[in-house]
Amino acid sequence: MLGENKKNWNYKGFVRVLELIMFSFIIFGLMMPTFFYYSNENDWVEVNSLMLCNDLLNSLEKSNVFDDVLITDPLTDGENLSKEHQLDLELLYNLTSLAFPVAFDFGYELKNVPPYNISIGCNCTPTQINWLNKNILTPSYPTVEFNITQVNLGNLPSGKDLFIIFGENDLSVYQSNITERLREGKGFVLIRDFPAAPDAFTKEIFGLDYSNVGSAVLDLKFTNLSDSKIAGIAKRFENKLIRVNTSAGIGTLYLKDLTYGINATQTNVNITGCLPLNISEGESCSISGIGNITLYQIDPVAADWTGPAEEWIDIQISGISNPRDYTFRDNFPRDLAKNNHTVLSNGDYAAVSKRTLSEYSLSYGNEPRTFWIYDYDQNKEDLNLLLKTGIIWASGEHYFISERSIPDKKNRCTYFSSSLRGNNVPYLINLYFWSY
Amino acid sequence: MVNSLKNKGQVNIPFTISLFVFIGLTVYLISSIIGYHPSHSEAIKSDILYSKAYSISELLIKDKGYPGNWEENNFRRVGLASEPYLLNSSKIAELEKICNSTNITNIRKLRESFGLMDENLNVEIKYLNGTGIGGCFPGSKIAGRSAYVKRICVLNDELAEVVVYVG
Repeated sequence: MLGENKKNWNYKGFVRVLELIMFSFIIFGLMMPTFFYYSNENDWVEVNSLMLCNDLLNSLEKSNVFDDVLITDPLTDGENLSKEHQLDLELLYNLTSLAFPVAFDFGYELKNVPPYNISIGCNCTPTQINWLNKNILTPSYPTVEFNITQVNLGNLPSGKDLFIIFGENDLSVYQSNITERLREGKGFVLIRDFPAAPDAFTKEIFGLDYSNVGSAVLDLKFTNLSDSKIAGIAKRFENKLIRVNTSAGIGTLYLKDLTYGINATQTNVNITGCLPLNISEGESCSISGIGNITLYQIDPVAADWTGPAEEWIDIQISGISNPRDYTFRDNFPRDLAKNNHTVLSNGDYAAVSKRTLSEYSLSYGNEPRTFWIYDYDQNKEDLNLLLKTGIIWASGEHYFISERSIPDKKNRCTYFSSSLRGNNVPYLINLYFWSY
Repeated sequence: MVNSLKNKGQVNIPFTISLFVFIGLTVYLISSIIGYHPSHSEAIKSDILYSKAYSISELLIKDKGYPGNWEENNFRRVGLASEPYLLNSSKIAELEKICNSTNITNIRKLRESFGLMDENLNVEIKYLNGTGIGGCFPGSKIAGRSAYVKRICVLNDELAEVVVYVG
């Protein structure tokens, strides 16, 4: 009897274990769908919208819509450029909204394309602003408008794209103000000579090395056209426009160290020594030993080409054998030694430098650009064009087209293009989209 | 001894409750497994159809087809592009001829050239502003539209959309 009871007790333990195992199996089975939950990783809604995004950018490029929308110019858009610019943006917006489902919103980001409008703060005199307005800040499509105001280095407003600094300032005194703007991606252009060594902050942000050996009249060339960064400036230089003012159709063009007479009418232009004579819009002539000149546009608004009222012509200049290999000539102070940031030089001496200061930027893709040029002879149109090129480059060439602010949570597709209307300057477009 | 004989053939209450709990959990487990598998397999089928629709759309908007100047009677693979993203209107017309013909062999050949077996194929081509251009609707306009992919491209310098339905 005692033995039988013992046996029952042993079975009781066995049944409990059996129950525990069975219950564990049941619980495991119940949880199985959770363990092996099928997540639909191929989310075709998102895949479809990314495909649409990529297709749209490729199609806009193939149909030349980007060329039309990103460059508003008088040759393709007529005379009211501001209105045409708005219409171009509307066209881009409409095409994009037709491509995406209704519940999506979107915005474009452009890099390496100058905007329609550049806002400039200038630490300079009213006379220098007038000179800039007349000789440098003239349309060079896509940029049509330059808004320039006088600013103080001690109080740099945040709404500007870049700042131009004339004269021999010790920038280290304003280091905190300048650094604050650099962090926002704002550009700086410095126009000055260095009879004495620059302060450390100026050296750093413009990439300068002091080496004063005295001035001489010398040829200045782009330092190394095999370097993509220098070639980038040279490519921009050959595509930018010089505006030459004429009176009764008569004007002068000062290139290298020679002056050339201009005789313009409503339909064609004759430049002394530039062959063939009499070129029309879109045609080029060549001055031996100087370069090629292409007539971009003759002032379409001027009514009287014989009276005293001023008219203008827009031209492009480039090297003869290689369009980017243009040679300047000037009384050059040789204040600074050539280094990795030098764009234009003679021998071991730098005339123009540029830097992209990514270490100052607070956000990726918003690197500030700086450009320095020596205090050159401001009557020379080729050097004026180089300054204009530097100003537009230093503005950042980075802007957004969006009706709403772009949220943090968004999708994106990117398109790289090697050229905008044949300028050979690569640019990038990001199309952001998000559902609301 | 008498008591234990009386209890024979009777089931106690805890045992009954645990039996019902056991049966309930088992039924729930089986039904959840049965319900889980079909949705999983449907999702896999849907993914396969979407993949096919995507590959067909890639061929249509980026490829010339084979031979490059293919026509209704000699095509081996259909592509509507002159170059990627630029559609060719005469190739769209040839595609329509294939799809509108009563030649079942040609339609089967079209499907097979895209790697389709029993699935239906519809292609709709129109400008972004909604103006119709053409398409391919063999059999019925609404047949087989389980998965679709919309692509953007260019036709006659205007943006157009190509929608591929497979199902």
